[in-house]
Amino acid sequence: MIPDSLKNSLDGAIPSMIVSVDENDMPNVTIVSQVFYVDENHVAISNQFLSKTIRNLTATKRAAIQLIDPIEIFMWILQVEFIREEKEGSLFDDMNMQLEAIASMTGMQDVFKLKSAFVCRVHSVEKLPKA
Amino acid sequence: MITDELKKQFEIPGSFAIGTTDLHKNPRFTRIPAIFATENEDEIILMVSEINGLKAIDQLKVNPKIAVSCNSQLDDTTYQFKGIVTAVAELNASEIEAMNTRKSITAKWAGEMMGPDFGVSYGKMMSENGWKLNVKVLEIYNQTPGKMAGKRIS
Amino acid sequence: MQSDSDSIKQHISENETIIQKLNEQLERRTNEIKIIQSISDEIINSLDPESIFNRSMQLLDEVFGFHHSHILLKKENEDVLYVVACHGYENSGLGAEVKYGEGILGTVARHKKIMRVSGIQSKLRIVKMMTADESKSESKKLPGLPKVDSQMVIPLVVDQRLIGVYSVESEDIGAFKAIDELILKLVGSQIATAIENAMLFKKQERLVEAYRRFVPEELHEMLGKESILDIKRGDQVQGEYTILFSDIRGFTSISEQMTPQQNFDFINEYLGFIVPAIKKNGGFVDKYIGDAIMAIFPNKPADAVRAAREMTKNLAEFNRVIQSRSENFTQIKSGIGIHTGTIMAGIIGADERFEGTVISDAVNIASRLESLTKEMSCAIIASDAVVRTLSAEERGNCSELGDVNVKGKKNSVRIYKLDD
Repeated sequence: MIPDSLKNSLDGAIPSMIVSVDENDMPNVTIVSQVFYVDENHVAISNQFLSKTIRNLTATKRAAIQLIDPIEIFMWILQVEFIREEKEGSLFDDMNMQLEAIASMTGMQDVFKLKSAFVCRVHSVEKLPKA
Repeated sequence: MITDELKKQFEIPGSFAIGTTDLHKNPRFTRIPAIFATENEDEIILMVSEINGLKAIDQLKVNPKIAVSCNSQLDDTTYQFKGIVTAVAELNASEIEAMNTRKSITAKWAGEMMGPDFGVSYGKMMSENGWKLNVKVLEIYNQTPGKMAGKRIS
Repeated sequence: MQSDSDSIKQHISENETIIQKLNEQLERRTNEIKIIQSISDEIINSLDPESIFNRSMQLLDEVFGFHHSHILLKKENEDVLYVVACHGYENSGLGAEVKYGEGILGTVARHKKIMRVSGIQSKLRIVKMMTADESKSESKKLPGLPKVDSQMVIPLVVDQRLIGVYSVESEDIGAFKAIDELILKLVGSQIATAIENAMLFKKQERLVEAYRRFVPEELHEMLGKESILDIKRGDQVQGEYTILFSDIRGFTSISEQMTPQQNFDFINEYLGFIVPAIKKNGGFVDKYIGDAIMAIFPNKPADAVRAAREMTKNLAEFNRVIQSRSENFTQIKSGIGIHTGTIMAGIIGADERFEGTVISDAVNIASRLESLTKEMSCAIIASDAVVRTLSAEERGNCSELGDVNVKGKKNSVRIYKLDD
């Protein structure tokens, strides 16, 4: 489902955006610093500061994610479905380590703790022209 | 509600996007070229170009609720507006020109930041048609990273 | 018709281009694997840490375009890394330290997991914005590029033990992709092993060097062993060897006037003057007993005689040097006894402590001859067994002193005074 050419955009070189929706069909759009590659059918976002997004995902499951290729600057749109939360394991560790590494550059590693990884199944991938 | 400070955010190099839902109430993401303030202090006008916006326009008939993100490329100041789309119309010639003028602000900035090639390619993205969406703003949130993040300001 | 054939031609040519591209990619992939193989071979075969550091960083730059790289090693007994090598920087930053958990380097060290980070500047900016009000001290200056945006750090791990980290970085956005991570992973494990081997080798060299000072190499050779590692308790050899005994006369009374430190300094300086003559003439020191030296000459007795004369000359030089330093110093004198006989050399000891030693009557005789130098008031005394093997020239001015009895020995030994 996730093509090889998309993986560069999941390295977090350029922040991504995510749209979720609440029970009353009100959308929410926000910036997310990195969407993580899990496997060829799944991506994950970090449950750390995105409280509204996390609440919406828990309630309605669906989200749209915009990614930008860091070299070619074109856009990808992913339609995803939240399927599970992980609070330990190698995915959680990898995501936490990324967070910790950046935070520790300013000595803030104790403040920036990952609560959990929100794993989403990718339903569709769409490549848009440069924007 | 739409203060002067907020209006200023529409006219600087920025990244503007909307969140809507599709026919099945699934979330949709669409990048938009420009946001304009209006006479009404609880209304904004969004300009959506043909390339990215076609599907979103149709789907607004099913669910007119919309979230609008306005992010400054200069200092990461970010606001989110939540509201209802009250009217949709095709852009006329002068509106297209106004939209392209706004686009060129970001294009010029991108050229300075990322090198002339990038600026040129960004500048080529000028639109020839599109839609305007009148949005009645219900809520405004500060989304700038920091202490204020997530706070409702209006 | 015309246009159909054109379109077929175009189609074929497009296909050819695609096939050619695929082949190129395949070739490139094969080449990369070959290069990684050859880097590994070259690195793994080196036992010099410096050349492993520099060569690997240079090769990764030339082949994969990793222009900026660092190697940091872990300090012993401390969770701290320090820069041992770098490539592509104006300021080397060698020796700079990074604690575990500090920045990307320290985080990789703490978790012992490879990490590839992109968008460092924008992520860092957000972290700073989020924590702007919290008055934490300014971030510590860590080694690396000031505006690094992409970085890959691999832990260098041997037997699950972290020995260091290898870092490559770039100021470009999205500079490193998954394939680069794979390359670094492949080469990194080789580098880790190579560094560990080279470090172990260096340590072992130092150990062997240290052991050599305690158990002389010549003793291994006498025992027919290549190195100290092959020696075990009970190893022994028997043969005709010459023993040389040397002692400072009246050292006890000199020693009483000195502090312990002065004693050691004095003896070490003295030995520094005297001992080189032994090795130079084909002998080796079997042991030191206080100020006394016991040396073995495995080849000709004449070697020991030559050494004895040189030692006497060196002692005169020692006296001159000491006297020039302190005027009230009374010159010291030494005696040397030399005897040739059948000796057994071997390894003795129990539990943890072994020693190479020589067991023989010949040792007692040489020691006795040395003690006779005082009453005979001469510097060097050799036994008949020694003197009869010497050429006229080697004997020099040599006079017989008669026969002496040695404790525990049935026959008396004829002794000679040798000129010094």
